[in-house]
Amino acid sequence: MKLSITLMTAAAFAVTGCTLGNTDVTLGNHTIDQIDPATGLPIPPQEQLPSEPDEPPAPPPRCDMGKQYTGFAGTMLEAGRVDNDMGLERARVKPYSALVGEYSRVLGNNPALIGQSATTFGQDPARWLTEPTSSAVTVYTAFRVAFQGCLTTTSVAGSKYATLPTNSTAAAECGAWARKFWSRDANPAEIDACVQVAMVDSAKEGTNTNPASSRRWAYACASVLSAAGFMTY
Amino acid sequence: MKTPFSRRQLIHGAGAAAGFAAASRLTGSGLFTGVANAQVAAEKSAVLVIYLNGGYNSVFPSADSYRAAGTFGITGDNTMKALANGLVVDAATFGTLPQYALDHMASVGVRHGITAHGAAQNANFGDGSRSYALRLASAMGGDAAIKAVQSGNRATPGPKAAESGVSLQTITDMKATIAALGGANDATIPDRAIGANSITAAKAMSGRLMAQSPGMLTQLNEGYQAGIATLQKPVQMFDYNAMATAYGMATTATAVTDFKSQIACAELMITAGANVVIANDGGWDTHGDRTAANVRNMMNTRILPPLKVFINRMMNRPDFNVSVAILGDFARSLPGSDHASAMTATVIGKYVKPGTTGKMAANVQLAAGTPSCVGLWQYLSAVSKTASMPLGANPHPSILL
Repeated sequence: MKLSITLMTAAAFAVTGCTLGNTDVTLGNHTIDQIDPATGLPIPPQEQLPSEPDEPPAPPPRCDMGKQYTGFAGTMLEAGRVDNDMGLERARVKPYSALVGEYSRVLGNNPALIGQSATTFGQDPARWLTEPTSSAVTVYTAFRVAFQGCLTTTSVAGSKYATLPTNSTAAAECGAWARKFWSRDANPAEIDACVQVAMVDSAKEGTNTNPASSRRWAYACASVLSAAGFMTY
Repeated sequence: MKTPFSRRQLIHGAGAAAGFAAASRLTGSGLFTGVANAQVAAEKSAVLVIYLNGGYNSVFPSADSYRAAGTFGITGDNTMKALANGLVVDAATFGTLPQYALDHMASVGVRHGITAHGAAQNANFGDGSRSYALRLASAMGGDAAIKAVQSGNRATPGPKAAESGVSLQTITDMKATIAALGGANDATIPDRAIGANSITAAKAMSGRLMAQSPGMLTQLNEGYQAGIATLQKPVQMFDYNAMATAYGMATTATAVTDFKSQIACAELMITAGANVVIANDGGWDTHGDRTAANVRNMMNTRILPPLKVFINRMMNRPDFNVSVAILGDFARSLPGSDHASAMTATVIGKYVKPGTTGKMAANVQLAAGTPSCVGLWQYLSAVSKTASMPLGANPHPSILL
């Protein structure tokens, strides 16, 4: 009995490669071909021992695409499924039904144009959902809606938008808009893009105070509000 | 032709002449704007694809195939209309098209060997990964911001990956489209140049999300690009009232919700410079329609009325070379109007030589050697006078002028 247990334990160690704490991976690989006459000790091998290859990085977790299904018409039902890394491809364009409320939520006013744009964005019938489609026209219409709403915000008499933007005020406001519209902080490049609109791209609106200042602010605001951070969820 | 100019129109006309020849043929005052003028240097080619989702009964383009057996309602010679070079169409439907169409129509055989809807739809529009329509639209060139259009919400089958920057843009409302093209009079519309720069900034601010979801946001990314390009083009003016009236639509109705508005939208977009417009229509999986009465009724009540308007307004013009292709998943088989394994398409166009390469046998089969799906698109490239023939040589030379 004792012998059997001993043999089984040894076999288990052999199978699992357990070394019982011996970490000398070269153990048993030394060859004693030559003795140094000066020291009487074995001469170590000249060649470099091969180094352990680096472990390949662990692949990112992926979805198992699972079972295949053949439809009635012979079509593979899984065709077209996206097999991708987890965490990617999660953004989806907001449907019109969501956008209607989103502008008023972030701006505090309801641009009239959004209420007239159901067919542009493709409003689904009640209790029906299709993935929204985007196009040049939806993007431009979204920008128009954003501009209309932003202009309402920036045209309030006596507001901070009655003063022309400067690099610093524009950067601060662009950052604030990003947090409000996208629910995250903008990075410097994103803020620069917004500031560029306020300070350069919209400069042809003029250098007077209202209405030029409110319109320049509105363009910058609309650029942030037309970005994917707001248009998607 | 002499056209009155205003100062603003003159400025716009100069821009249009430089870049966009077809921008402004429509005249008169209307809902959106007034008169513009054309400085047309060359013939503008375009293709309108009418896709009948479910099937396209070959009784329309090959009526005589069914005369001997009297199937699909071809029970007498008076049910057929003979055109040139052996082309015989259904008298009650295609036989009523304008004379220009009858003189410039051909039937094109597509022997794809597919009887499943999904597979046939995909094969009709692409090779599995690339879209024939987008390759054609890209090769046709021009400087329009929107070169390929899906008119209305009904989805176009097949692959849709952009070709050399040309993507399929869905148009569901003509008012918003006209505004994007610059042809609307509305003080609340932002300045186009600043708007283009602002959307460019919005696109730049979207980079992080685009990188994380390149597939899901493909359309949005393409929308930014096409939107910026649209705003950078010269203003285009349209007389929407005249167009809507011609199609029997209310001048206040701008949503693209039915076939009539889909074809009106096609006219708008082709006038604006689009190369390929696709109008999808549903309800053509007509099992049990043994006499083809159902499909004739749909053709006469829904498809042909706006198509006749389109033909009369767009196809016999010196400045345009517009072709119309009508196709579906496959023809309907006999006796029960089920799924045939081939399809005969109809093409109408300026450079279409009347005739047929799609004469069906009485059992709804096409002759061996008839080209498959890509052959139709090669032919459409040829009638569009596309210089590069991106899909290959035309396999239907007998019906090409």
